[in-house]
Order: sequence, then structure tokens, then C-alpha cells
Amino acid sequence: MRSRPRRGVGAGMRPGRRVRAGVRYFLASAVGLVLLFPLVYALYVSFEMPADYGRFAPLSRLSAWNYGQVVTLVPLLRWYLNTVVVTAIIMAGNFAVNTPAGFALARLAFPGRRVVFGTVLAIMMVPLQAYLIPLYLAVAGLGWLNTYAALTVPFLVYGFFIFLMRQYFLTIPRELDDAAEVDGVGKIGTFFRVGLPLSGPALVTQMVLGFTLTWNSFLIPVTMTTQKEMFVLTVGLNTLKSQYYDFPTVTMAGVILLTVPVVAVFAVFQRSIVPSLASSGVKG
Amino acid sequence: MRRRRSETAAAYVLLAPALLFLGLWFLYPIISSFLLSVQQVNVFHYSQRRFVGLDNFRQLFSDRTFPATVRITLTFVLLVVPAQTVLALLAAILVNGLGRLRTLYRTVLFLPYVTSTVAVTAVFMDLFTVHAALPVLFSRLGLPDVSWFADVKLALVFLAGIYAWMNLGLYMIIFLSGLQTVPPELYEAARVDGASPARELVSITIPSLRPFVVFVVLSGMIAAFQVFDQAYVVSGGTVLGGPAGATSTIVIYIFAQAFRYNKLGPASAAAVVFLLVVSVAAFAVRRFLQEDPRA
Amino acid sequence: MKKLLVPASVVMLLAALAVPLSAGGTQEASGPVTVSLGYSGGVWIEKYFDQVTAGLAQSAPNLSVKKVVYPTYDDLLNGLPTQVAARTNPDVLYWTNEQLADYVSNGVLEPLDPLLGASKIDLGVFYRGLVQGWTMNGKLYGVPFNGQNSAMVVNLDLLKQAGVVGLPKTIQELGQDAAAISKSGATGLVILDNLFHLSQYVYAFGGGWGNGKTIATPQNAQGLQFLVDLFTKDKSASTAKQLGAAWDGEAFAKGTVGFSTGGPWYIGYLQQAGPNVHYQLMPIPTSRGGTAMVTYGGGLSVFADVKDPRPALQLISYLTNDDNMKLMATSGLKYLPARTKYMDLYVSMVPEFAPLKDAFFKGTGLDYPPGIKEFGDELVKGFEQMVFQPGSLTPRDLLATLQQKFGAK
Repeated sequence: MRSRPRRGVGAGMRPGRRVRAGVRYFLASAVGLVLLFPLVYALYVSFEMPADYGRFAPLSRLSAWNYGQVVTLVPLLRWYLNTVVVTAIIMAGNFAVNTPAGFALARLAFPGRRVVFGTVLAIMMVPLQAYLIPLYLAVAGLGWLNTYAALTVPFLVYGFFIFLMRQYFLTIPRELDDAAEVDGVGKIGTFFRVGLPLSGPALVTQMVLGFTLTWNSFLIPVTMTTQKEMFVLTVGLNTLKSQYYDFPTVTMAGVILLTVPVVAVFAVFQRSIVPSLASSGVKG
Repeated sequence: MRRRRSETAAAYVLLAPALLFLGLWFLYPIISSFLLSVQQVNVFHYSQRRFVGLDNFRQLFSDRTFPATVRITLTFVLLVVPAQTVLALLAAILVNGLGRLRTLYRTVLFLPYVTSTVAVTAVFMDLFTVHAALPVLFSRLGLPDVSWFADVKLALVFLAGIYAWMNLGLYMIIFLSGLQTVPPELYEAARVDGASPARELVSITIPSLRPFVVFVVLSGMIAAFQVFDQAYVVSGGTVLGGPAGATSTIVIYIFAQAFRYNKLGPASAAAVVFLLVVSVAAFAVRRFLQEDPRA
Repeated sequence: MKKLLVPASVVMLLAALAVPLSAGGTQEASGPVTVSLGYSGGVWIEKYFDQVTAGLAQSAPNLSVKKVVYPTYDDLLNGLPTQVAARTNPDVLYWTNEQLADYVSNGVLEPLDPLLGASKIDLGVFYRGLVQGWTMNGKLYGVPFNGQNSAMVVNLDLLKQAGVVGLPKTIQELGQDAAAISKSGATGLVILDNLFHLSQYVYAFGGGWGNGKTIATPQNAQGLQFLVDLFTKDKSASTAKQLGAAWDGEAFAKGTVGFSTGGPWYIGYLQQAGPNVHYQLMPIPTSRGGTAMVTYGGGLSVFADVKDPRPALQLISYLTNDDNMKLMATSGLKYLPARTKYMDLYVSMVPEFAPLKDAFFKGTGLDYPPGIKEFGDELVKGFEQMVFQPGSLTPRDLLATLQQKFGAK
């Protein structure tokens, strides 16, 4: 397997190349700055006292008071636990459900394929707000309110991810399928032998995105849970607002506490987006 | 013949869990909700709803409120989708060639997407408040020094800006994982032939990324049509869709009808119209991008 | 590794389906009767209710309380109707009477008058204005719990800087003072443009909505015109959003605003967010030199679909008893108790409230038309149109449209 040609700054490059690389880094830094600045601002605000909100306070007046408020006033750990459990279940479920579905839609010919794919797309086009009430009635009817079931079972499938996996599987050369078939495995076997192992980058993408979507989701948890012990982070952190006002600085502290785990997860997992082995498969 | 049947069987086996869950948790509530569009419903007396034909639809178009939301949503989508697609693609290509710092940049570029929408919108509202640095900066270019989100003309642009900023990372990640599928030999061959980076981009990268471009444009468009969170925060506390209806998107309308006014009939009717609008748009885009409809 | 992942996920999936974990659950205690109490309002009201319901064991051992929590008041309002449809609503609800009309007209609340005697609730101990606020069509639909009111909040420093001596005695004078303040560089007046705040200016001109009977009146038009003029002619007013604030208090806390229609909730907020703002609360002056104050507030209602309302009333009786009301003022909550005897205690705990004390006893209730939220949204949208697109709409036309759509027939 040949490694990807390194395009970074390095010795032995022609001068034009080095300039191009320099421009590349400069642009990337500018973009990074635009994307990072608002978040750094949020972090800064989370350390400001409420009286200093809206201004730039000197370093001496910065403190962790907001975090203290959050930690002492609410059952943060329980909410972290709930969010982690819900997210883990949904991630696992999505992986199991969406990946084979995407493979089938990309690779296999069967009657009704267009209908199924069209339905998946159509479902993506209906906003949750439109059908939340019937969904709530159904979940309430099952007696699932205030349980992990209500927060996870309806979300073990996402049309978005089926679509993503389908597009990804479309890029895998058909020759690999044929090779597997020659070996005598059925189509399902092809999925496990060829599709799945090669789906690494898209799988990680699906997992990371699934994590993010679930971790930050609000509308479903707030509708399905009315007991403090079952709140997830997004919902629970909203109780920091009193009926008549809230302190933006405390809200920002909550936001930071909400965001840090997601960033950590992403930072860890993004290294796993490995280069495709498809090329070597074809050659070998 | 046998292969065909076993292929069909295999397909449905692989699809079974997805179809089950989609049917139970999406199709069933969606169809229930669409049934409500031809009924008059009082949420408090839900079981006493009755059939009223197309009354709800007539009500939707009886004044300019709902049509205005369609116009505003379309404007929003046209502002957002091209921008976020192109920028995400360029960012992905940029980051891909960064060598060792790639992982760091990837995290940085993804950060906006993982931060909660409410927080991001709140931060941007702070940054675009009257007399703050950014409006003052933009006022040098001729724009008024106002709070952008409170200005009838600038509020939608503000919304589009935050939305694109947040979602850039998502689509960049998708393009990045797509870039991994491009066989390196193609680039090697191109370099041997002496092709410029621009040529490589046009002849190799973009064609290889075609499925991902389709995905980003289509799903990006479908998501943009459904914009809600940011608009909710921007106009929260006063009337949804403010100022003076400038950020009144279709989903904001649906939410207000269903949850604030308890008018499920018009809300569901609006959802049906929404689905039609988005379907037409999606069909048009797929045609335009010439995605193989047989796929 | 990948091969194990799929079966492992399937197992996890089946486990998740087979064992829905639940916390709390819906098991009824075999002994005591469980009454569910729904509320929102954040951590302070949570602490208060925790403290208070802990004392139930002594006073009413046959009752046990199940809490139904809504993170914010908006979540309460958005979620409640659907819960009624699904019969998952709480038995007793702590909420404010702004939305009362819609719930009463749909028949989902239990009239409480016939049940008061048995649970020993004496309405005479509460402020008359509050009791009126919870009464509709001659029937009582909520027992007052705490009081809130509208007021004008004044930045005394900015007033002095603008050369104004003394507080304005009429609303027109207030407009002039606001103009003076804005000439000296600050913002004269800030408003969070929602139904509540817009209504204060309507009340200041002797107008009102009359529960739908008096929407299109000259006084209402005057009130709206006055406010719109502050924006378009004097340019002394701004909405909270225009000043970059989520609500009016946030803008006021920055110390750059002269006037705001606020209320006692400013007090706790400004202690933290605007400790250097030198302010005072005063009743809103009217066009005739009097004062207008709207009193409303939190109360406890019972849903009509409760099987037996007596335990619910027992809970309400307990929650509104002497000791618990006193605790409202003395604890971190610092709400104004609905029992009139605690006004002086409250003022001693919250001295900034003192200027409002007398007017509170004479306060009138909210008189929104039915279809409150939709009415409010249309009013606000019309107002925003008049302010941001001047000349496109007049108050009279707006009110005429609203009367047609929401007027009492």
C-alpha cells in the first residue's frame, strides 16, 4: 500500500510549492480564527461575573463563580450520565441499523429500491415540529414517558445517515463485490466482508455526527421527560433560568460544560478516519 | 433468476431494522400529522377532532402570513446552501493538504457544529450588537451600525450567517471522509503529467467527490429548509419570526401554530405544503446535479 | 473487530428494547394518595417546593407529591396542551394567570369555589386583585400563590444627568423625560416588545382589552401611538433586541437606559447583574396623572380530569398556608406572598419594593382576549411593523383588525 503523498511543507520542495504551502497555512489559520473566535468568547463570558456581562472585564474580576452556580444548584452528574447513556444507545443503534440499509440501497438491485430511497429522503424532509405531537401521544400511550426508552428507541434510525452510508458505499468499486461473490458468499456476506470493513471513515463520521446530534438535542428530551432525574444536559441546563430572567454568564458556563465532552470525543475519534484501502484491494 | 431473488431477499434483510424503525417512529406519526391537516383539532379535546376537507389549506393562503414564510425560507436556503457547500469543499481540500496539522485543524473546524445552537446564536447576537466591533467594522462598508438581528433588512442575513458558520464543519467532515476515497494514484499520475493543483482539483477531486457533493447539497438543502433553532433564539421573548416577520421561516410558523396557538390543523397543513415545496426543490436539485435516478 | 461490532450493537439494541430503564416510574404508593404538582421556574422555585413538600409528612401524612418539572415557563406553556391530550398532565399546576382564559374556555380546569370550604381555604386573606385575576365568569380557577405586578423602573442617575428634577407624574411627562435622556446620549426607554409590556402603555392611557370587548378603542390607539412615536419621532426608545439584550432588564442593567416597564423581578436580577445601577421602582403614571398597576402572579390550579379533586385541594391548602407563604418571602425565593398580611414583611426583606406597596392593593388584573398568544403575537408583529417600517400601518388599523379577529362576539 502506498502512503499518501505528503503535501505539507518539507525539504526539497520547489520554491513555488513552499509559497503555496505558506498561503495554505495562512488561509487555514484565518478560517480557524473565524471559527474559533466566537467559542473563545463564550469561554471568556463563562468566567465573567454577571455584573460584567457585555463588557471586557479585567483578569482580576474573572472567576469560576458561574461554574460554581451550575455545579451546586443542579444534579449535573446525573444529567451527564443520562446524556451519555442515551447517546451511547443511539450511536450503537444507528450503526447497526443505518449501515446495512445504506449498503442495500447502494449496492443491491431489488424491486422497490427507488421507493425506499425516496421514502427515506421524504422522511428527512418532514421537520420534527410537524409530527412531534402524534409522536408524543404514541410514546405516552406506551407508558414510556420519563424512561430511557422514550429518549432512544425512536431515534435508532436517521434518514440522514442512511443517505450518507449509501453515498459512501457508492464509491466502493464494484470489482470488490464481484470478487467476494466469486468466493461464494451471498450478498449479505458481501456486506460483512467487503462493505463493512471498508466503511471505516464513513462509519466514524456517522458515529461522531450521531453523537453530536444526540448530545445537543433538546426538543425530544424536553417533551418526553418531566422528572429532573431523567433530564439530559440540554434540558437540565435550562432550569438554570428562573421564571423571570437568567444570567447569561451562568448559561455560558453551562454551555461550556455541555460542549467540552463533545469536543473531546471528536478530538479522539477523528484520528480514526483512515485512508481508504480500496485502491490496494483493486490492485491486489 | 435465483440470484435476483436472493439479492432482493438479502436487500430486505439488510433493510429490515431500518424499515421497521422508520415505519414505527417516523411514518406513523408523520401520517397521523398529515391526517390532522384535513381535520379541525382542538388539542385540549383531541379525540373530538373532525374532518373539514381543505379548510385548513384555504386558511393558510387566506392572508400573506404563510406565503411570506415560504418566500423567506426560500431566500434563506438560497443564501445558505451554495455558500456552505462551496466553503466546506474548499475548507476540506485546504485541511486535507495540511499534513501533520490536519488533525488539529479538523477539530477546530468542527467545533462550531458541536456547540449548542442556542449558545452559538447567543454569542453571535452579542458580537453583532449595536456599537460592537463587528457592526462597526461592517459600517465602514456602508452597512448601518445596528444590532443585525433586530434590523428588518439584516436579520435574515444574520441568521444565514450563523447557520452557515455552524454547519460548515459538518459538511467539511463529510467532504474530508470523501476525499479519503480518492485513490492516490490518480494524483500521482496527474503530477507525473505535470498538472497544476487547479487542474487536479477540477479533473480529479471534484468528479471523484460527486456522490458527496450530491449528498452535501441535497441534505444541506433539506436541513436548511428546516431551520428553526437559530431563528427561535433570535426572535425569542417577543414574537417568533421577528423583527416584523423577517425571520419567519416555515418551521417557525408550524411550531407557533402547533405549540403556541394549539392550532394543529393549520400546523399540519403547513407541514404538508412544506413537504411539497422541499420535494420539488430536492427533485429539481437531483436533476440538476444529474444524479442517476436509477441509483 | 468490526465483525464483532455489529453483533455487539444488535445485542445492545435488544437490551435497550427489553429493559427500558425508568426512574421514578408511576407506581402509586400503597398508603398515601399521590398528587402530581407541575411547575417551572428554575432552581429557586425547585428548592422552595422541595423544602415545603418535605413538611407534608407532618401536616398531611396521607398526601405524597409527585413533581412534574418543566425546565422553563415557555416549555410549560408549549407542552401542557399536548399533555392534556395525552392525559399526562399534572393534577395541580403552579403557573401564572396570563393564559387562564384559554384554559378556562376549553373547560380543562376545575372550578374551585365549591371545594374551598372543605379544604379550609379562605379567599379573604389574599389580595382582591389577585383573586379577581384567577376568577373567570364568576368562578375561581386558581388559588393565588404569589404576586407580581407591573411597574416603571427608572435609572435615577440618567434622569439627573439629563437635568430632570423629580419623577414624571404623567405618562406624557415620562415621554419627555425619556427624550431628554436620549439627547444626553443614553437610551431613553427600553421595551421588550411582547403582549405584557405593550399592554402597560395601553393601560397608561386608560385603555385595556376588556377580555376582547374593548380592543379597538381610542385610548388603546393613543397608548400604542405614544409608544410608536417614542421610536419613530423622538427616537428615544429601543427594543431590548435592538440594544443587544435578551430582555429589557438585561439592557437596563447596563446602566444606559432611562426607563423600562419592569417589575419586582428586576430587583433580584439587578443585584447581581447591575449592582452599580442607581434605580427606583415606581407605579406607571397614567395620562391623567394617576397610576396604573397590573397585579397578577402565580397561582395553583387543578385540572378537571383529576379523578378526585379533594387531595389536590388539600395540597393547595397546605401550600398556601401561613407558614409556607411566610417562607416565600424569607427564603431565597423572595416572592411576594399572596396573603396580604405579609406585605410589610416582604417590604422589609425587599426594600426596593416599598414605592409600589400602596398601589399593589389597588391593582387591576390582566384582561387579555381569548386566543391570548395569537392575539399577542399579532399585536407585537403589528407594533414591530409600525416601528421598523414606519407609515405602513397605523394603530387604529391594527386594532381594528385585531378586534375583528379576536373580539368577543
